[in-house]
Amino acid sequence: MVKSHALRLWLAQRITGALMAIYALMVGSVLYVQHPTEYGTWKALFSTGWMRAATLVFVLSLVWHAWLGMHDILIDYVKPALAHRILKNLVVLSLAVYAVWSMRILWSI
Amino acid sequence: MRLSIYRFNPETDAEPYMQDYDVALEPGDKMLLDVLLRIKDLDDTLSMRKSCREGVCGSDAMNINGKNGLACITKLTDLKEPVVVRPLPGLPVVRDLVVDMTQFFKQYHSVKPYLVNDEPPPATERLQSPEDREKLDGLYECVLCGACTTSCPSFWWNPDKFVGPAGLLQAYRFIADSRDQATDERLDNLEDPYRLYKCHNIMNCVDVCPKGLSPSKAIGKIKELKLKRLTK
Amino acid sequence: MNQARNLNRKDKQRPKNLDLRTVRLPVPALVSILHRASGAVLFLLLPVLLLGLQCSLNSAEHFAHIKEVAAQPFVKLLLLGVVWAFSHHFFAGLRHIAMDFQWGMELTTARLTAKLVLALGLLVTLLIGTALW
Repeated sequence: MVKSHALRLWLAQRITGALMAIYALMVGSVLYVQHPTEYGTWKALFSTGWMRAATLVFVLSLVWHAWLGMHDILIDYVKPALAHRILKNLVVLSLAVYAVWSMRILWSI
Repeated sequence: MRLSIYRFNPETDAEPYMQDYDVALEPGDKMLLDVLLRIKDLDDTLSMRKSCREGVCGSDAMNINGKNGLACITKLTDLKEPVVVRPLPGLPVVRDLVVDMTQFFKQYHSVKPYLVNDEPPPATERLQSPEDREKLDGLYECVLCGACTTSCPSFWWNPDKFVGPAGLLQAYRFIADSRDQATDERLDNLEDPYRLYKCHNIMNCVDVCPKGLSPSKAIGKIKELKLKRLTK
Repeated sequence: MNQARNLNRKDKQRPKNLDLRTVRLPVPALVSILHRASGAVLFLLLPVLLLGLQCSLNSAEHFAHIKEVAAQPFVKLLLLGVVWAFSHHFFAGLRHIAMDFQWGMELTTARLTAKLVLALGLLVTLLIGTALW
Protein backbone atom coordinates (compact mmCIF):
# COMPACT_ATOMS: atom_id res chain seq x y z
CA MET A 1 0.00 0.00 0.00
CA VAL A 2 1.23 3.47 -0.87
CA LYS A 3 2.35 5.60 2.08
CA SER A 4 -0.46 7.99 2.88
CA HIS A 5 1.50 11.25 3.02
CA ALA A 6 -1.22 13.45 1.54
CA LEU A 7 -3.74 11.99 3.96
CA ARG A 8 -1.50 12.78 6.93
CA LEU A 9 -1.22 16.41 5.78
CA TRP A 10 -4.99 16.59 5.40
CA LEU A 11 -5.38 15.22 8.92
CA ALA A 12 -2.70 17.54 10.30
CA GLN A 13 -4.57 20.59 9.04
CA ARG A 14 -7.70 19.48 10.84
CA ILE A 15 -6.02 18.39 14.06
CA THR A 16 -4.00 21.61 14.38
CA GLY A 17 -7.16 23.55 13.59
CA ALA A 18 -9.08 21.73 16.30
CA LEU A 19 -6.29 22.27 18.85
CA MET A 20 -6.28 25.99 18.12
CA ALA A 21 -10.06 26.13 18.33
CA ILE A 22 -9.94 24.56 21.79
CA TYR A 23 -7.25 27.03 22.87
CA ALA A 24 -9.26 29.97 21.52
CA LEU A 25 -12.37 28.89 23.42
CA MET A 26 -10.38 28.31 26.62
CA VAL A 27 -8.46 31.57 26.51
CA GLY A 28 -11.56 33.40 25.29
CA SER A 29 -13.48 32.30 28.37
CA VAL A 30 -10.59 33.15 30.70
CA LEU A 31 -10.33 36.62 29.16
CA TYR A 32 -14.08 37.08 29.47
CA VAL A 33 -14.07 36.08 33.13
CA GLN A 34 -10.87 37.82 34.24
CA HIS A 35 -11.30 40.90 32.04
CA PRO A 36 -7.63 41.94 32.26
CA THR A 37 -7.75 45.67 31.58
CA GLU A 38 -4.61 46.49 33.50
CA TYR A 39 -1.04 45.34 33.16
CA GLY A 40 -0.81 43.28 36.36
CA THR A 41 -3.65 40.87 35.53
CA TRP A 42 -2.61 40.67 31.87
CA LYS A 43 0.97 39.76 32.77
CA ALA A 44 -0.14 37.29 35.46
CA LEU A 45 -2.32 35.49 32.91
CA PHE A 46 0.66 34.73 30.69
CA SER A 47 2.97 33.87 33.57
CA THR A 48 1.27 30.65 34.64
CA GLY A 49 2.75 27.32 33.60
CA TRP A 50 -0.39 25.99 31.95
CA MET A 51 -0.96 29.17 29.94
CA ARG A 52 2.59 29.05 28.63
CA ALA A 53 2.31 25.37 27.74
CA ALA A 54 -1.10 25.81 26.12
CA THR A 55 0.09 28.83 24.16
CA LEU A 56 3.15 26.90 23.00
CA VAL A 57 0.88 24.16 21.67
CA PHE A 58 -1.22 26.88 20.02
CA VAL A 59 1.82 28.49 18.40
CA LEU A 60 3.23 25.21 17.06
CA SER A 61 -0.22 24.25 15.72
CA LEU A 62 -0.57 27.68 14.18
CA VAL A 63 2.77 27.47 12.40
CA TRP A 64 1.96 24.07 10.90
CA HIS A 65 -1.65 25.00 10.07
CA ALA A 66 -0.66 28.30 8.48
CA TRP A 67 2.05 26.57 6.46
CA LEU A 68 -0.41 24.03 5.06
CA GLY A 69 -2.91 26.77 4.24
CA MET A 70 -0.44 29.16 2.63
CA HIS A 71 1.13 26.31 0.66
CA ASP A 72 -2.30 25.50 -0.74
CA ILE A 73 -2.76 29.13 -1.77
CA LEU A 74 0.64 29.30 -3.44
CA ILE A 75 0.00 26.08 -5.39
CA ASP A 76 -3.26 27.47 -6.74
CA TYR A 77 -2.33 31.04 -7.56
CA VAL A 78 1.45 31.29 -8.02
CA LYS A 79 2.41 29.21 -11.04
CA PRO A 80 5.72 30.73 -12.22
CA ALA A 81 8.40 28.47 -10.71
CA LEU A 82 10.77 31.14 -9.42
CA ALA A 83 8.09 33.30 -7.78
CA HIS A 84 6.58 30.18 -6.25
CA ARG A 85 9.89 29.08 -4.74
CA ILE A 86 10.70 32.53 -3.41
CA LEU A 87 7.30 33.02 -1.79
CA LYS A 88 7.31 29.50 -0.39
CA ASN A 89 10.67 30.07 1.27
CA LEU A 90 9.49 33.45 2.58
CA VAL A 91 6.45 31.83 4.18
CA VAL A 92 8.52 29.05 5.78
CA LEU A 93 11.09 31.55 7.06
CA SER A 94 8.44 33.90 8.49
CA LEU A 95 6.68 31.06 10.28
CA ALA A 96 9.95 29.82 11.77
CA VAL A 97 10.71 33.34 12.97
CA TYR A 98 7.21 33.71 14.45
CA ALA A 99 7.59 30.40 16.31
CA VAL A 100 10.89 31.41 17.90
CA TRP A 101 9.62 34.93 18.58
CA SER A 102 6.50 33.61 20.33
CA MET A 103 8.55 31.34 22.55
CA ARG A 104 10.80 34.26 23.49
CA ILE A 105 7.75 36.34 24.36
CA LEU A 106 6.28 33.57 26.50
CA TRP A 107 9.45 32.75 28.39
CA SER A 108 10.84 36.19 29.03
CA ILE A 109 7.95 37.45 31.12
CA MET B 1 -36.03 37.14 -26.05
CA ARG B 2 -32.78 38.99 -25.61
CA LEU B 3 -29.55 37.06 -25.29
CA SER B 4 -25.86 37.88 -25.08
CA ILE B 5 -23.73 35.05 -26.36
CA TYR B 6 -19.96 34.46 -26.15
CA ARG B 7 -18.44 34.35 -29.59
CA PHE B 8 -14.97 33.32 -30.65
CA ASN B 9 -13.85 32.14 -34.07
CA PRO B 10 -10.14 31.27 -33.94
CA GLU B 11 -9.86 31.86 -37.68
CA THR B 12 -11.09 35.43 -37.61
CA ASP B 13 -11.09 36.70 -34.01
CA ALA B 14 -8.12 37.77 -31.95
CA GLU B 15 -10.23 37.89 -28.78
CA PRO B 16 -13.60 36.52 -27.72
CA TYR B 17 -16.51 38.97 -27.56
CA MET B 18 -20.17 39.00 -26.55
CA GLN B 19 -22.79 39.23 -29.29
CA ASP B 20 -26.33 40.39 -28.62
CA TYR B 21 -29.32 38.72 -30.16
CA ASP B 22 -33.04 39.45 -30.09
CA VAL B 23 -35.05 36.37 -31.01
CA ALA B 24 -38.75 36.07 -31.70
CA LEU B 25 -39.96 33.01 -29.81
CA GLU B 26 -42.40 30.47 -31.21
CA PRO B 27 -45.14 29.00 -28.97
CA GLY B 28 -43.36 25.64 -28.70
CA ASP B 29 -40.09 27.07 -27.37
CA LYS B 30 -39.63 25.95 -23.81
CA MET B 31 -35.90 25.40 -23.24
CA LEU B 32 -32.80 27.48 -23.87
CA LEU B 33 -31.64 25.03 -26.52
CA ASP B 34 -34.77 25.81 -28.55
CA VAL B 35 -33.75 29.48 -28.62
CA LEU B 36 -30.11 28.74 -29.42
CA LEU B 37 -31.18 26.60 -32.38
CA ARG B 38 -33.49 29.41 -33.48
CA ILE B 39 -30.44 31.69 -33.42
CA LYS B 40 -28.67 29.25 -35.69
CA ASP B 41 -31.44 29.90 -38.21
CA LEU B 42 -30.58 33.58 -38.08
CA ASP B 43 -26.81 33.22 -37.68
CA ASP B 44 -25.48 29.92 -38.89
CA THR B 45 -21.95 30.66 -37.63
CA LEU B 46 -22.89 30.08 -33.96
CA SER B 47 -21.27 26.82 -32.80
CA MET B 48 -22.39 24.60 -29.96
CA ARG B 49 -22.64 20.94 -29.09
CA LYS B 50 -26.09 19.39 -28.74
CA SER B 51 -27.65 16.00 -29.27
CA CYS B 52 -30.38 14.33 -27.25
CA ARG B 53 -32.25 17.58 -26.33
CA GLU B 54 -33.56 15.86 -23.19
CA GLY B 55 -30.78 16.08 -20.63
CA VAL B 56 -29.20 12.64 -20.95
CA CYS B 57 -26.25 13.01 -23.30
CA GLY B 58 -24.51 15.93 -21.59
CA SER B 59 -23.45 17.59 -24.86
CA ASP B 60 -24.92 21.07 -24.38
CA ALA B 61 -23.45 21.96 -20.99
CA MET B 62 -22.71 25.67 -20.85
CA ASN B 63 -22.61 28.65 -18.49
CA ILE B 64 -26.07 30.25 -18.42
CA ASN B 65 -26.52 33.54 -16.53
CA GLY B 66 -23.42 32.65 -14.56
CA LYS B 67 -24.38 29.10 -13.63
CA ASN B 68 -23.43 25.91 -15.45
CA GLY B 69 -26.28 23.80 -16.81
CA LEU B 70 -27.65 21.84 -19.75
CA ALA B 71 -29.28 24.16 -22.31
CA CYS B 72 -31.85 21.55 -23.31
CA ILE B 73 -33.38 21.32 -19.85
CA THR B 74 -32.98 24.95 -18.80
CA LYS B 75 -36.46 26.47 -18.87
CA LEU B 76 -36.84 29.84 -20.56
CA THR B 77 -39.27 30.93 -17.84
CA ASP B 78 -36.46 30.52 -15.29
CA LEU B 79 -34.11 32.85 -17.16
CA LYS B 80 -33.64 36.58 -16.57
CA GLU B 81 -33.07 38.67 -19.69
CA PRO B 82 -30.74 39.38 -21.30
CA VAL B 83 -29.72 35.76 -21.04
CA VAL B 84 -25.93 35.59 -20.87
CA VAL B 85 -24.62 32.40 -22.47
CA ARG B 86 -20.96 31.55 -22.12
CA PRO B 87 -18.92 28.35 -22.61
CA LEU B 88 -18.05 26.17 -19.61
CA PRO B 89 -15.45 28.00 -17.50
CA GLY B 90 -11.83 26.96 -17.29
CA LEU B 91 -11.52 24.79 -20.39
CA PRO B 92 -9.91 25.99 -23.63
CA VAL B 93 -12.50 27.38 -26.02
CA VAL B 94 -12.39 25.75 -29.45
CA ARG B 95 -15.06 27.99 -30.92
CA ASP B 96 -18.05 29.91 -29.49
CA LEU B 97 -19.71 27.60 -26.96
CA VAL B 98 -17.60 24.56 -27.81
CA VAL B 99 -14.84 23.80 -25.30
CA ASP B 100 -11.97 21.34 -25.45
CA MET B 101 -12.99 18.56 -23.06
CA THR B 102 -9.62 16.73 -23.31
CA GLN B 103 -8.46 17.55 -19.77
CA PHE B 104 -11.86 16.60 -18.37
CA PHE B 105 -11.78 13.19 -20.04
CA LYS B 106 -8.13 12.65 -19.23
CA GLN B 107 -8.94 12.95 -15.52
CA TYR B 108 -11.97 10.70 -15.98
CA HIS B 109 -9.91 7.98 -17.65
CA SER B 110 -7.21 8.29 -14.99
CA VAL B 111 -9.52 6.84 -12.31
CA LYS B 112 -10.01 3.63 -14.36
CA PRO B 113 -13.78 4.01 -14.75
CA TYR B 114 -14.53 0.34 -15.47
CA LEU B 115 -15.19 -2.72 -13.41
CA VAL B 116 -12.09 -4.56 -12.29
CA ASN B 117 -12.79 -8.15 -11.39
CA ASP B 118 -10.31 -10.86 -12.30
CA GLU B 119 -12.49 -13.78 -11.34
CA PRO B 120 -13.80 -15.69 -14.34
CA PRO B 121 -17.23 -14.36 -15.27
CA PRO B 122 -20.09 -16.61 -14.06
CA ALA B 123 -22.51 -18.28 -16.42
CA THR B 124 -25.12 -15.60 -15.94
CA GLU B 125 -24.25 -12.17 -14.47
CA ARG B 126 -22.05 -11.19 -11.53
CA LEU B 127 -24.67 -11.15 -8.82
CA GLN B 128 -25.37 -8.08 -6.75
CA SER B 129 -27.95 -7.77 -4.02
CA PRO B 130 -30.56 -4.99 -4.23
CA GLU B 131 -28.92 -3.38 -1.18
CA ASP B 132 -25.53 -3.35 -2.91
CA ARG B 133 -27.12 -2.06 -6.11
CA GLU B 134 -28.67 0.80 -4.15
CA LYS B 135 -25.18 1.98 -3.21
CA LEU B 136 -24.67 2.95 -6.86
CA ASP B 137 -27.67 5.29 -6.86
CA GLY B 138 -26.55 8.87 -7.16
CA LEU B 139 -23.33 7.73 -8.84
CA TYR B 140 -24.14 5.85 -12.02
CA GLU B 141 -26.45 8.55 -13.41
CA CYS B 142 -23.61 10.93 -14.33
CA VAL B 143 -23.73 11.92 -18.01
CA LEU B 144 -20.21 13.41 -18.01
CA CYS B 145 -21.48 16.81 -19.10
CA GLY B 146 -18.65 18.59 -17.29
CA ALA B 147 -20.85 21.16 -15.55
CA CYS B 148 -19.56 20.20 -12.11
CA THR B 149 -15.86 20.02 -12.90
CA THR B 150 -15.87 23.32 -14.76
CA SER B 151 -17.66 25.02 -11.89
CA CYS B 152 -14.94 23.99 -9.45
CA PRO B 153 -12.31 26.67 -8.68
CA SER B 154 -9.83 23.97 -7.60
CA PHE B 155 -10.15 22.48 -11.08
CA TRP B 156 -9.73 25.91 -12.72
CA TRP B 157 -6.37 26.38 -10.96
CA ASN B 158 -5.09 22.81 -11.40
CA PRO B 159 -6.91 21.06 -14.28
CA ASP B 160 -3.91 18.86 -14.99
CA LYS B 161 -3.46 17.68 -11.41
CA PHE B 162 -6.84 17.69 -9.66
CA VAL B 163 -9.17 14.92 -10.87
CA GLY B 164 -12.26 17.07 -10.34
CA PRO B 165 -15.78 16.29 -9.16
CA ALA B 166 -16.92 14.15 -12.11
CA GLY B 167 -13.81 11.98 -12.14
CA LEU B 168 -13.90 11.52 -8.38
CA LEU B 169 -17.61 10.70 -8.42
CA GLN B 170 -16.90 7.96 -10.95
CA ALA B 171 -13.93 6.78 -8.91
CA TYR B 172 -16.28 6.33 -5.98
CA ARG B 173 -18.91 4.70 -8.22
CA PHE B 174 -16.48 1.84 -8.74
CA ILE B 175 -15.12 1.85 -5.21
CA ALA B 176 -18.69 1.43 -3.98
CA ASP B 177 -19.51 -1.32 -6.47
CA SER B 178 -19.62 -4.67 -4.66
CA ARG B 179 -18.55 -6.44 -7.84
CA ASP B 180 -15.32 -4.43 -8.13
CA GLN B 181 -12.20 -5.87 -6.53
CA ALA B 182 -9.75 -3.02 -6.97
CA THR B 183 -10.81 -0.82 -4.06
CA ASP B 184 -7.33 -0.63 -2.51
CA GLU B 185 -5.69 0.24 -5.82
CA ARG B 186 -8.36 2.84 -6.55
CA LEU B 187 -7.75 4.47 -3.19
CA ASP B 188 -3.97 4.29 -3.71
CA ASN B 189 -4.48 5.91 -7.09
CA LEU B 190 -5.83 9.02 -5.34
CA GLU B 191 -2.89 9.32 -3.01
CA ASP B 192 -0.96 12.38 -4.17
CA PRO B 193 -1.71 15.83 -2.65
CA TYR B 194 -3.58 17.00 -5.74
CA ARG B 195 -5.73 14.28 -7.23
CA LEU B 196 -8.23 14.05 -4.39
CA TYR B 197 -7.17 16.48 -1.70
CA LYS B 198 -7.56 19.61 -3.77
CA CYS B 199 -11.26 19.28 -2.99
CA HIS B 200 -12.01 21.82 -0.29
CA ASN B 201 -15.76 21.28 -0.10
CA ILE B 202 -16.58 24.40 -2.08
CA MET B 203 -19.65 22.48 -3.31
CA ASN B 204 -20.22 24.35 -6.57
CA CYS B 205 -20.42 20.90 -8.15
CA VAL B 206 -23.54 19.94 -6.21
CA ASP B 207 -25.04 23.35 -6.92
CA VAL B 208 -24.84 22.90 -10.70
CA CYS B 209 -25.26 19.18 -11.38
CA PRO B 210 -28.16 18.90 -13.85
CA LYS B 211 -28.82 15.33 -12.71
CA GLY B 212 -29.02 16.29 -9.04
CA LEU B 213 -25.94 14.30 -8.06
CA SER B 214 -23.53 15.16 -5.28
CA PRO B 215 -19.85 14.77 -6.13
CA SER B 216 -19.08 16.35 -2.73
CA LYS B 217 -20.81 13.50 -0.95
CA ALA B 218 -18.96 10.87 -3.00
CA ILE B 219 -15.65 12.65 -2.41
CA GLY B 220 -16.42 12.80 1.30
CA LYS B 221 -16.91 9.05 1.31
CA ILE B 222 -13.59 8.51 -0.47
CA LYS B 223 -11.81 10.67 2.12
CA GLU B 224 -13.55 8.72 4.86
CA LEU B 225 -12.41 5.39 3.37
CA LYS B 226 -8.84 6.60 3.11
CA LEU B 227 -8.95 7.70 6.74
CA LYS B 228 -10.30 4.31 7.80
CA ARG B 229 -7.47 2.58 5.93
CA LEU B 230 -4.93 4.63 7.84
CA THR B 231 -6.22 3.46 11.19
CA LYS B 232 -6.55 -0.20 10.19
CA MET C 1 -7.41 23.22 -44.73
CA ASN C 2 -8.62 25.71 -42.14
CA GLN C 3 -10.06 22.86 -40.11
CA ALA C 4 -6.67 21.13 -40.05
CA ARG C 5 -5.12 24.32 -38.70
CA ASN C 6 -7.66 24.42 -35.88
CA LEU C 7 -7.05 20.80 -34.94
CA ASN C 8 -3.37 21.55 -34.60
CA ARG C 9 -3.96 24.71 -32.62
CA LYS C 10 -2.32 24.41 -29.21
CA ASP C 11 -4.21 25.11 -26.02
CA LYS C 12 -2.00 28.11 -25.32
CA GLN C 13 -3.70 29.92 -28.13
CA ARG C 14 -7.20 28.97 -27.09
CA PRO C 15 -8.89 31.39 -24.70
CA LYS C 16 -10.62 30.24 -21.54
CA ASN C 17 -13.81 31.60 -20.12
CA LEU C 18 -12.48 32.56 -16.70
CA ASP C 19 -13.91 36.05 -16.21
CA LEU C 20 -14.95 35.51 -12.58
CA ARG C 21 -17.28 38.51 -12.77
CA THR C 22 -19.51 36.45 -15.06
CA VAL C 23 -19.68 33.37 -12.84
CA ARG C 24 -22.18 33.11 -10.01
CA LEU C 25 -20.88 32.71 -6.45
CA PRO C 26 -23.23 30.54 -4.38
CA VAL C 27 -23.22 31.05 -0.57
CA PRO C 28 -21.12 27.93 0.24
CA ALA C 29 -18.52 29.09 -2.29
CA LEU C 30 -18.48 32.56 -0.70
CA VAL C 31 -17.87 31.04 2.72
CA SER C 32 -15.10 28.92 1.22
CA ILE C 33 -13.21 31.78 -0.43
CA LEU C 34 -13.62 33.93 2.68
CA HIS C 35 -12.22 31.01 4.71
CA ARG C 36 -9.12 31.12 2.53
CA ALA C 37 -8.90 34.94 2.52
CA SER C 38 -9.36 35.20 6.30
CA GLY C 39 -6.59 32.64 6.79
CA ALA C 40 -4.23 34.60 4.55
CA VAL C 41 -5.11 37.86 6.33
CA LEU C 42 -4.37 36.29 9.72
CA PHE C 43 -1.03 35.03 8.43
CA LEU C 44 -0.09 38.43 7.03
CA LEU C 45 -1.05 40.30 10.21
CA LEU C 46 0.63 37.78 12.53
CA PRO C 47 3.80 39.85 13.02
CA VAL C 48 1.69 42.88 13.95
CA LEU C 49 -0.21 40.84 16.53
CA LEU C 50 2.99 39.33 17.94
CA LEU C 51 4.52 42.79 18.21
CA GLY C 52 1.44 44.01 20.06
CA LEU C 53 1.57 41.05 22.42
CA GLN C 54 5.27 41.46 23.10
CA CYS C 55 4.85 45.16 23.76
CA SER C 56 1.83 44.68 26.02
CA LEU C 57 3.72 42.21 28.22
CA ASN C 58 6.91 44.25 28.38
CA SER C 59 6.00 46.76 31.09
CA ALA C 60 3.08 48.73 32.49
CA GLU C 61 4.08 51.75 30.38
CA HIS C 62 4.18 49.65 27.23
CA PHE C 63 0.83 48.12 28.11
CA ALA C 64 -0.70 51.57 28.51
CA HIS C 65 0.84 52.61 25.22
CA ILE C 66 -0.70 49.62 23.46
CA LYS C 67 -4.09 50.50 24.92
CA GLU C 68 -3.71 54.02 23.56
CA VAL C 69 -2.74 52.79 20.11
CA ALA C 70 -5.63 50.29 20.09
CA ALA C 71 -8.08 53.08 20.83
CA GLN C 72 -7.30 54.95 17.62
CA PRO C 73 -10.06 54.57 15.00
CA PHE C 74 -7.83 53.17 12.25
CA VAL C 75 -6.27 50.62 14.58
CA LYS C 76 -9.69 49.72 15.99
CA LEU C 77 -10.88 49.00 12.45
CA LEU C 78 -7.84 46.87 11.74
CA LEU C 79 -8.25 44.91 14.96
CA LEU C 80 -11.95 44.43 14.19
CA GLY C 81 -10.89 43.05 10.85
CA VAL C 82 -8.55 40.61 12.59
CA VAL C 83 -11.33 39.59 14.97
CA TRP C 84 -13.66 38.98 12.02
CA ALA C 85 -10.97 37.05 10.14
CA PHE C 86 -10.43 34.80 13.15
CA SER C 87 -14.18 34.39 13.80
CA HIS C 88 -15.05 33.53 10.24
CA HIS C 89 -12.09 31.20 9.87
CA PHE C 90 -13.02 29.53 13.15
CA PHE C 91 -16.68 28.90 12.26
CA ALA C 92 -15.92 27.96 8.66
CA GLY C 93 -13.30 25.56 10.04
CA LEU C 94 -15.86 23.92 12.33
CA ARG C 95 -18.19 23.57 9.34
CA HIS C 96 -15.33 21.95 7.39
CA ILE C 97 -14.74 19.39 10.14
CA ALA C 98 -18.47 18.65 10.37
CA MET C 99 -18.52 17.99 6.63
CA ASP C 100 -15.52 15.69 7.00
CA PHE C 101 -17.81 13.56 9.13
CA GLN C 102 -20.34 13.59 6.28
CA TRP C 103 -22.59 15.96 8.21
CA GLY C 104 -24.33 18.74 6.30
CA MET C 105 -23.45 17.51 2.81
CA GLU C 106 -26.96 17.90 1.37
CA LEU C 107 -27.22 21.06 -0.72
CA THR C 108 -29.98 22.67 1.36
CA THR C 109 -28.16 21.96 4.63
CA ALA C 110 -24.87 23.15 3.16
CA ARG C 111 -26.47 26.44 2.13
CA LEU C 112 -27.98 26.84 5.57
CA THR C 113 -24.75 26.13 7.45
CA ALA C 114 -22.92 28.48 5.09
CA LYS C 115 -25.29 31.32 5.96
CA LEU C 116 -24.97 30.38 9.62
CA VAL C 117 -21.17 30.62 9.45
CA LEU C 118 -21.38 34.06 7.83
CA ALA C 119 -23.85 35.25 10.46
CA LEU C 120 -21.91 33.82 13.41
CA GLY C 121 -18.69 35.36 12.14
CA LEU C 122 -20.27 38.79 12.03
CA LEU C 123 -22.14 38.32 15.31
CA VAL C 124 -19.07 37.28 17.30
CA THR C 125 -17.11 40.15 15.75
CA LEU C 126 -19.83 42.53 16.89
CA LEU C 127 -19.88 41.04 20.40
CA ILE C 128 -16.12 41.13 20.84
CA GLY C 129 -15.99 44.58 19.29
CA THR C 130 -18.50 46.03 21.73
CA ALA C 131 -16.83 44.19 24.65
CA LEU C 132 -13.45 45.67 23.76
CA TRP C 133 -14.68 49.15 23.02
